[in-house]
Amino acid sequence: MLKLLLSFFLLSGCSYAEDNAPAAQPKAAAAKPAQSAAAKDPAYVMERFTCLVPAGWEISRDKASEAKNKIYELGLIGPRAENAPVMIYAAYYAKDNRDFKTYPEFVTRNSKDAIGRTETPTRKYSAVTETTLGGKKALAFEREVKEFLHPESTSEESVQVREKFYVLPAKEGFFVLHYYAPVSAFNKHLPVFKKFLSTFKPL
Amino acid sequence: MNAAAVKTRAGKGLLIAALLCFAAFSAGAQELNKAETDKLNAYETAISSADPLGAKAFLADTDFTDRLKLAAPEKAAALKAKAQALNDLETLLDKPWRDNEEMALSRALSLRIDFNKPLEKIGIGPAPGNLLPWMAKYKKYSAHKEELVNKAIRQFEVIFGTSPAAAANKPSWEVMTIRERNVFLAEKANRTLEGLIGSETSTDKAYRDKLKTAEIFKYLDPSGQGRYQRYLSQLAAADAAKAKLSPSQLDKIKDQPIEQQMYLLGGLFDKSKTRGAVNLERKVDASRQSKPGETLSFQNNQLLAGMLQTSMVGEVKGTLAGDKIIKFYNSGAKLNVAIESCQGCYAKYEPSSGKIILDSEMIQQYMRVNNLTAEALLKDKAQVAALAKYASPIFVEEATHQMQHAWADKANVYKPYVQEDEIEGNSMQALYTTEKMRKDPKFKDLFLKMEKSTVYAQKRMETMDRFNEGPVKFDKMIRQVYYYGTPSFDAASSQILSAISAELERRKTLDAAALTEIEKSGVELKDAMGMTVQELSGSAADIKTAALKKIQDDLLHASVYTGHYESASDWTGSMLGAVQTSQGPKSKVGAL
Repeated sequence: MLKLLLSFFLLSGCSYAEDNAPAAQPKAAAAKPAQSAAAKDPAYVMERFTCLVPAGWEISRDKASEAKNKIYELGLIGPRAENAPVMIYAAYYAKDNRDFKTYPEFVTRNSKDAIGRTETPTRKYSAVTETTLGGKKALAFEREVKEFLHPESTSEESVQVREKFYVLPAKEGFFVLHYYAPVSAFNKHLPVFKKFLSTFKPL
Repeated sequence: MNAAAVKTRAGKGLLIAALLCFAAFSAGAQELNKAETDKLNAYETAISSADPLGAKAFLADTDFTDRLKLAAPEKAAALKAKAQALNDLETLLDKPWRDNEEMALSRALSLRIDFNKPLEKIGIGPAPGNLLPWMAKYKKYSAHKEELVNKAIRQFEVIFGTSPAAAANKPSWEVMTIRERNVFLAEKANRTLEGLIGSETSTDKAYRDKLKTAEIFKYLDPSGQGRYQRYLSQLAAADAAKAKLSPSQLDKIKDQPIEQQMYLLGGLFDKSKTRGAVNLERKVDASRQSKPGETLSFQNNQLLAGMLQTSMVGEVKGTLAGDKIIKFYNSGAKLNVAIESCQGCYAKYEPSSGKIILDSEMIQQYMRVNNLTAEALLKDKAQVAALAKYASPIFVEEATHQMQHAWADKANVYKPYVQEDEIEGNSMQALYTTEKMRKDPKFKDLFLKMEKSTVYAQKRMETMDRFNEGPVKFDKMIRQVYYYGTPSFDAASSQILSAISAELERRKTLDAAALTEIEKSGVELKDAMGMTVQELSGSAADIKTAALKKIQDDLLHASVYTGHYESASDWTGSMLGAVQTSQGPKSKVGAL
């Protein structure tokens, strides 16, 4: 019975972390906070990185998928615009992750379409540029996508989204920071993403 | 009695004693001890009060659930069904739903909150009003998500406002399920749309914008949505084409409803040579209805289906996904391609008939865009081969669904239709398209041409791109964006297990005559195995006990299914790696 109560208690902590309204911090993180230089709030602790969750944004994770695929991704869902959410993803791709052998492979496959084009009737990609993030070298690029909401049916309903990526190599594996917004809201919420980037700390 | 006989008798005695001991031990082992009973009571209390943490803890406690399966199989199945349903509801609501996915969320909730669903047994449903108190008690979602859920369950005030006049209808609305509310609203939206299509003559931007922002159309059902989107495309194509017409030509089409305008425009632009006009013609042709020569008669349909079937096999041969499919058909499975109306989809596998149905409108649209009549198409093998190329990605997906059904038949397990089926099907399609794009220049040229004028081609390219960006992320998109209305394996399994457990419990209260009647005239196992999730859940009372127990046993061994799905997903993921490595362009991104 004690074991049962304990398991309820532990699950309660996890759920609080992920389902609470936006500014809530995970109990695991609260128990062992990683203090941010920019703020006194405890940072959200993920596999190999910490970050601060912007106020008013919901947290989304799939721990079963993380364990299986070795891609540890924190999803943050922000305000809605043009019928779609603005989202920030921060992910650590472990060395033995399921999808990419190296970070250049990730960049190649995400900065062009599947046949190497940078412009198609439904997509447009920017060039990949070298930059720095928190003093570390990174690669950055953007893309704009006409996203169909019902590929299985003959419906043509779609939403135009713009995405921005930063890819940082790690000692083992790599990090991806990804901003996703409807075109009309991209610039409006970009400062939130930039502030988020400033709180992102690889461990 | 000789020594050997004594030895034999002694051996038999020992064996009988061992069997008696084992039987006694088994009987003891099957009953829960005090601590286990307490644990069960705690789980039952938590799950009955719809506590999602209790449900998670129960599902994670596999030692105990295995033990419970032995001691009280029906109780184990019932509790597991409720826990899975609760877990599934929580996962569904935790997802980052978009505003324009309100209908998607509504349909997903209507699948779960209705009559005879596991959630009903723990106080959520059939009417959706008690979902909100549950969210307030156990979840702390943002105000936006709460608002979206209110819209998705079609809360009375959200739909009809708060005027005293409207309030009179509130009591009857409150007892309706989400499904019933959506049917009511969809019928109203369909009537409005059909009225506009049949009589409205405007095609200008102001009119199109008004249509796009009209609230009523968000309630359209999938086929209504398809018609609405097509109407918008037709209006845009007609408006663009009209800009190129002379006043006298314009005069001929004014005052005509949209279908008539498209028909007349198709004739005006036929076989234009200038580049702008060619593109306009393709757009008009893609959006308009077929003219008499462009439709397939019954005989032509049969002929073309047969020719496509042969061409399709040749087309997919030599690719990783295609060879897997051909191996399946070479092992005795029957390939039967038909051309029929798919009712809002591009293709489907129909388990009841064993047919892969290609949508007749998709094929006729291909013919219109390429200026082909049925007669010209059937006379030209090269044209049929090109059409087979065009349809082959969706064929690969549907053949994968046929393979899934064959797997279940061979494993002799009941197979519900679930999101995991679509993850495998779409991944196979995307893997195939990726490989063909790299290996087959004609395939590539065709899709690069067709993606300029048909949404079908654009969607195949998008599916390929999303898969190439990362199969793990693709998996999430399939669940959340594309197949939100299809239950996950967990959701389907919990719904069926709940229905079966409830029915087996009910049968314990029936008299001998009623039980005999069920066993005499009830549904046989063979027919029950072919039922959908909804059919099985809704007709458990009519199915023979042995059939119910067989399906219950299948679904309780979830690893048989999850193992199959995981293996399929790992295969497509690793094969994409092989395609990337063997044929892909070399990475031009240097290391930092």
